[in-house]
Amino acid sequence: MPDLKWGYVCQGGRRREQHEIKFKQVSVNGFRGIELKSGTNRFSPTGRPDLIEINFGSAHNFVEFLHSCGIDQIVSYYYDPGIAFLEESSAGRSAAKIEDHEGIVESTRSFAKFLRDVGGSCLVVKAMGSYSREAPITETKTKTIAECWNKVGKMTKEYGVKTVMHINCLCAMHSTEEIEKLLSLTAPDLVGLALDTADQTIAGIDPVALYEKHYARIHHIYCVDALAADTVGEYKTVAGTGQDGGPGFTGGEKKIEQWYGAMGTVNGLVNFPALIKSVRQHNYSGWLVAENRQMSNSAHGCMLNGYYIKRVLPALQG
Amino acid sequence: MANIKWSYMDHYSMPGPRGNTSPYTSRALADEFVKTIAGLGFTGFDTFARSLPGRAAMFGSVKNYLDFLKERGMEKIVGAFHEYSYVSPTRAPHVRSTHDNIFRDVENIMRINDAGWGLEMLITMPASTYWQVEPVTDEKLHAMADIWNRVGKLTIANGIKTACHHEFWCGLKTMEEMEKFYSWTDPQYVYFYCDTAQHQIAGNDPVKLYMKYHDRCCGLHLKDTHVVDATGDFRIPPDPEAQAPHNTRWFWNMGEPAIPPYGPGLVDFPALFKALKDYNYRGWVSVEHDGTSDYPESTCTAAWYMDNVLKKIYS
Repeated sequence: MPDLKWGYVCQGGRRREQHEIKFKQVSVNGFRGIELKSGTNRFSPTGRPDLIEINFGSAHNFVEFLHSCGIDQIVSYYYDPGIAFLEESSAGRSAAKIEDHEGIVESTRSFAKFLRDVGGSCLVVKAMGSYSREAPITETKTKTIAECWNKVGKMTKEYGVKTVMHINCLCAMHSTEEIEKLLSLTAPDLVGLALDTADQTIAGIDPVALYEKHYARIHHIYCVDALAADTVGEYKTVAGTGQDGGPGFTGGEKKIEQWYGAMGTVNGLVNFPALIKSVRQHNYSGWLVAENRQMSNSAHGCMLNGYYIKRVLPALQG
Repeated sequence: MANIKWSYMDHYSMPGPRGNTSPYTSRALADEFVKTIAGLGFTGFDTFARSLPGRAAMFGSVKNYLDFLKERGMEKIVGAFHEYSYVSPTRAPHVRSTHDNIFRDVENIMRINDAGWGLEMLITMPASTYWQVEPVTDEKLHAMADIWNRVGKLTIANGIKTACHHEFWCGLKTMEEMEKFYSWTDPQYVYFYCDTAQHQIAGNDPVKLYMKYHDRCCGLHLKDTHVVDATGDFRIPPDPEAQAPHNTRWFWNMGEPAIPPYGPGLVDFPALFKALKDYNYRGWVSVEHDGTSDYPESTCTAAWYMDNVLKKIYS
């Protein structure tokens, strides 16, 4: 059985010292790889390959810097087509609009090339926007979205990088059936799925069952706990209009301010031991990526996640 | 078997439901706190002696609390800090008429320890704040030496070393004062506890101090600083550490990047660990953070430095 590979989503920070502190924090807590998140302008020094070049001189310099902090590699980049990239004079794009497809393919090309150059494996794409922005789901819309990611996947394959779709708990595409429909319309050799333990749980989907059914298409797994499930469809209300996807999900009828927690949170809903057991059984070779979402102190969240992967999971597996 | 075991001084602030809070506000928060520190590789805690009864009460008994620690990967409470920062009419180490009270206080701590704490050290400030002690005369230093000899004899009979920790603002801080004090105390009873930042701020080299008193050193607090007290804040009332007129921050975590306007930290930790290795130090080393704005972040940075720099020199 392959060893599990643990990574951590890293975003934020503008000064070099802040990045150093953050990367060292991730590495000392046992996470050897990082995922970057797309962003724009000088507020996001690691948000795009061209911003990394401006801030670090080159991708190579950035990787050397990561190594000096104890990080082995960049695993993936999370790409949100809805970001109004100032660098591209884009007002934000959507996979549901066919007129945006060409722009999305060209925009993601630099990310794919970067991942190839640094040894990363996955371009994680936000498959679709939130319900408030892109509902309703129709047959045509689903096909258009699938077509977009097929095109992106064909492009990233040229660089040896996988494209995987991420569907968060606010996504217009919400149910298991809708996700499976989208998956069926994408080519297995071009597009995969990024399982998200928290977002799927919040949306009422059992992530372990989803993995069991679609493990052959799941090439990336986010390991975040969920503290509550959206049982009354709050994602369709004002509460679901948060701009940063799932982490923007607060308030609403159930007055839940925090939906996400570190792995192993007391009363957390995700069955991580079952997931890890399944992942091992299916010889999963991708990365397991933890993330701070809605936690008020990122170091504290990282430490809790670190304790879980270093002490709890190994003890459960004997 | 490791030569060095790592402990963490547990004054800390962590995120809670209503903002930053002490880890012992609730057992749920304590659970998170202990896990996060254990996850970084620490196996012991140091705390304040005055916290021990409350800690036992919170968990139902000393055994319950220690089991709580062990279940999460920690061994024990290693050292308990006890001090008389401010002079009072009844307690001041440099005032002989208060010595019986100080001795009874420590007797009480020994009774607390008898409940099963298993403490290894009683860490104490050997003098009260400098502005309340000065002038620091030989007579006052003799008085301090006498009380800590007396206390140390009591604690060592209980398996606990009395270790003196010199704040940069305490009435026993210069090389000359320390030299007299340690020559007038019995090495069987009075030990040296090296706080790297405190000595650096006071204008003393903690590495040289460790080398000088290595045979009496039973523990260290590792923290860094960017400042030396060049303005005499150490003697300005009311509280030179927390209310210094010329400085709002004295302490930083070790391993922090050089953040402007400061350069690298002043403590030479690699040299210190080479000295620990040269003198074959065996025992606990404690990481401490005093007054950082983000305790979890500082702890991670220090732990990274511990793992990637210091342990490679000596462990």
